[in-house]
Amino acid sequence: MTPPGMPSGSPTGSPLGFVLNAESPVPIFRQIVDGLRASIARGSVATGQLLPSVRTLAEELGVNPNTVQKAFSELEREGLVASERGRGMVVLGGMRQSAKAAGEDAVLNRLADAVRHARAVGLSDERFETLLRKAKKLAGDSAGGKDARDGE
Amino acid sequence: MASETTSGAAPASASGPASDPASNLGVACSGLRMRYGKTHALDCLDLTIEPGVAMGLVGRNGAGKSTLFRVILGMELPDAGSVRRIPNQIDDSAFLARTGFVPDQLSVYDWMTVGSAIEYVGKLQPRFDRTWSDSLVADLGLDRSKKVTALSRGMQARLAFVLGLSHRPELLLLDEPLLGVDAVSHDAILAILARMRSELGSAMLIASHSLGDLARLTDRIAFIEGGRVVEECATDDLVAHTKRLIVRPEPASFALPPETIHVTKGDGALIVTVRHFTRDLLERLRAGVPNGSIDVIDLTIAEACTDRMRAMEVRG
Repeated sequence: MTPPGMPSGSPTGSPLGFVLNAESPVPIFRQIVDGLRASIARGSVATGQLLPSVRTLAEELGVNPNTVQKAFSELEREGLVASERGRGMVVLGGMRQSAKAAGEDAVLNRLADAVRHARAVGLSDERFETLLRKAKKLAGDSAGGKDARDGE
Repeated sequence: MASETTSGAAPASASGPASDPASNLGVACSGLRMRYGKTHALDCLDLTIEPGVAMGLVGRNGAGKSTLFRVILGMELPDAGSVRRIPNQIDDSAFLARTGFVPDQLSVYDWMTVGSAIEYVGKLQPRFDRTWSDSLVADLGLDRSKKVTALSRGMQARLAFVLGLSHRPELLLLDEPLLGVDAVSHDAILAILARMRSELGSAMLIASHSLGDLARLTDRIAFIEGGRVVEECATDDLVAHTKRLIVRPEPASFALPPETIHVTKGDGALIVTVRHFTRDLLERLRAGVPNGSIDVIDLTIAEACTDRMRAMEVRG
């Protein structure tokens, strides 16, 4: 069920509680990495637990399985998960803190992009702050913000 | 081959197709030409869809997309050029039996129900797989007893997918399959296409104006204009490496790099869209405007594609 006010058919929910937006400048591969990392940081997937399979996640999100696979490889490269033969991707111990830190970096990068974008269109710092407040409100109104505090 | 033939008896896929070998069907078009009167529908078109690869096809209406589908499906013979099947030794009928086509409009008889339309296609299609077909009907939430004329646009699209995919095709040709489809049907269909990729490893050619869908589904995107493929690139690169550069104040002269796709002026700035963006390129361009600034803006897939298509329009 798409809540009113959402662009038709774009954001799709997943069992891990993140949404994809195909109309965002953030590549889908990057959105999946960020979403999975956030799930690990929140503890939605705990140490020793498995991430959903490539197939499950690709179907839930309605995306190319190759893109999901690429996101898994990235998390493996970052050391947050390891592939366990025959089982899938397992969340490694003690990774919650580093997932949090990496998540913060990702947010910082996106904010830096937003600041650059604001400068490029000639916004004042004051106006940017106003828009940031508006953005928080906008995010709070949609489903995505609700479960961001699980496990805290 | 014999073990894969599933007409009639219960198919072998009942236990789940997890162990299926990767599909190996693809198609390579080269030098395709097709003329209708004075119009060149295809004009030396080259495009290869490797096995297992999902290729998006982007272009304005009339760019030659639908003609390309008809030529690949053998519904029309090109004036020149070739359609080479991958693997080489496969014959026409085997190729077509393993290829699935979903058109933008469902075409079945008005008197049919969902169930009878599926039975009808099942009789025509030698590789029809009942178990697979049933699972598609269930996943897509179709009611077999409904008359097709009573279906909503979204439900008609779901049925078109069942009819086009019931024989577990290894190559899918999709011509604007999601046009005018409601959000719920849209998500259900995207899930099915993801399933086709992960379970069957099917290759795809998807023509769509819905660029967000192409961002979700494809590995590569080909741009078609005037009957030829003018650019082809990895979908990830398209989004990650197409950037808009805002040069401010608008310089009196500016050497456009070869990566330039599109240029506009506005609000005291020169706005240049480039492909293959790198830090190096930015440094070089910044050196060219010592008294100005260049800001870099990330683009959505729609913006990255639209700027290319605008440029094609100008070149006309």
